[in-house]
Amino acid sequence: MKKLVSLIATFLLVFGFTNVGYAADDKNCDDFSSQEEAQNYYESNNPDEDPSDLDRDDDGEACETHTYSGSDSSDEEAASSGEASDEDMTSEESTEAADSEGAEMADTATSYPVYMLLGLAIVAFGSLLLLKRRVHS
Amino acid sequence: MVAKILSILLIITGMIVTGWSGYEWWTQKSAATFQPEKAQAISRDWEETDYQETVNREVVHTSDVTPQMKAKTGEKIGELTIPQLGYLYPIYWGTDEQTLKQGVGMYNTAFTTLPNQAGHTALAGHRDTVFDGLDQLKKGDRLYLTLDDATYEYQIRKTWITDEHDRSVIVEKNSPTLTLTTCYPFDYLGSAPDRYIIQASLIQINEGSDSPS
Repeated sequence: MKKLVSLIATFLLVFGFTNVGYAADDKNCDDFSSQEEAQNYYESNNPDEDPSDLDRDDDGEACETHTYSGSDSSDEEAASSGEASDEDMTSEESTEAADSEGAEMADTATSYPVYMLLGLAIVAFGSLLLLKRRVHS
Repeated sequence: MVAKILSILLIITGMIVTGWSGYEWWTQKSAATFQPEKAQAISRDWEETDYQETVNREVVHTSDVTPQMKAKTGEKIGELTIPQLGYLYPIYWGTDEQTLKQGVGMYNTAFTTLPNQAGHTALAGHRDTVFDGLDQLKKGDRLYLTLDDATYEYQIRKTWITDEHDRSVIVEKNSPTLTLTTCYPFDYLGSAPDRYIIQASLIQINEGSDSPS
């Protein structure tokens, strides 16, 4: 039991660290959710050398040209969800309007022809299998 | 050996499926009886396709106190005769799946009425069983609806194709109207996306049993 726990611990340690190591190795503007976050990272990680090259034009601002979908995207999402609810509303309205117009028509098609064809296809398949068998033996 | 058993099993299954659906289809199709002589005997001028005036709403109303349909869903209530096709169709109350398996169904909605209420009477039938061949009907052709010893004579005013969700067909009408709905296209496999509509106006009522039955 102890062995298992230590094994898991080592496993977690190794992989956890390697992950962090990878992440720490090189950051791209994509890795941040906002420009401020990138800026913070840039300032706290040797801004003069800029190992991750977040400030390519060396003006002291990291990822200023990268478009972040952070706060903007939430706005967009809100907007789109708003639109969606609008659509829902209109569709509801339209069905209501349709309700006041008249009733739905009856379903007037049977599926028997399809079933008949399906049955014939199964028969054909079975016969084919049988014939093939005969030829082979 | 296994393959042989499997193939024989497949053949038997296929035959059962085909046989069963073929039988169901045939029995449902034969709900409509093909008797041209009887169908055409319903009226002397069934072939006349000239435009006839629509009967006034008031004329229909004087004939009866507002009748109520007492039939239960799925009960036979009358007969539809189309001399042009030579067919007689039994009419059942309601348009649910079980009812439409028996024959032609009459819509039971808030918008539709019985023929003797001078409103909008609507019938539905499967395009591949009872209402097979309905697309041969043209403007001017006559339809006869027999209900409670009265025969209502309708003349087709127009036919059109619409979407299955169109709710502008089964609506209230001020003039006595008969609408037939069935699925379209007629030779489409599976549940059809469109509806074929035939709309006719009431042109005459024959009360009593003077129509040969």
